[in-house]
Amino acid sequence: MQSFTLVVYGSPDTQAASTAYNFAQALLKAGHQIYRLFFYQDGVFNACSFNTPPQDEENLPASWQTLIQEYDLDAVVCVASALKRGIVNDAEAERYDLAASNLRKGFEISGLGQLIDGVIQSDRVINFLP
Amino acid sequence: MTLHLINKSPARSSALNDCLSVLEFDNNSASAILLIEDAVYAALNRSSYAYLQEKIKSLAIPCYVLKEDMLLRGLHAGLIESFSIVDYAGFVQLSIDYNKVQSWS
Repeated sequence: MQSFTLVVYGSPDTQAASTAYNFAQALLKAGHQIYRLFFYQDGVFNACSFNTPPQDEENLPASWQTLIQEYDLDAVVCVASALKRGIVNDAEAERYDLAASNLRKGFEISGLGQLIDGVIQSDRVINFLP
Repeated sequence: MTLHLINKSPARSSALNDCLSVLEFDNNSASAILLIEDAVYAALNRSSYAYLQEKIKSLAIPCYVLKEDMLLRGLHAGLIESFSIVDYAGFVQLSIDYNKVQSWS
């Protein structure tokens, strides 16, 4: 069994995000472990809870949430990338006096240190570039 | 022992060409290439990418094509024979068989 950190750089409407999701499913199915999912740059949009795509389209953020909760995965969103793009949790919404928070359940906001930790602790790190 | 992950068609990105240039310079035949997403077009036989396919052949390194992305694009046949087809489970296994995965975009 190997441990992986997957770094997602693309928003849900890039294939990079779908590839990362499919890869995550395949590795879990094969009995391997995800040490961390790290959402960076436009990848933070995968952690948005306000997206409401048409019913006949895939809702990738919802799929991520299901996967994260099913396997109890550590899913980290880069704080600088997130704030810049308007993805905030309750604490950040309060700090910046915003009307609402929109971070999806299962995800947490943290810093690049968590990516470095993932690089150190995992057997493999795979970058999914848009 | 690096798996090079390419995700762009040679038509809009020099990623594959750049990767091959590095591998030529490196003279490292322990590496492999995996074509995913739009990069699967680089595996088309009788395409204008013959020069890239020749480079891969002369480097004598394994080149894999992700099956799901190939089928999504309707590429059921006409792929270069020396390239191997892998599914997502194969992609996971390759990422373990090689000790590093380098993404190019």
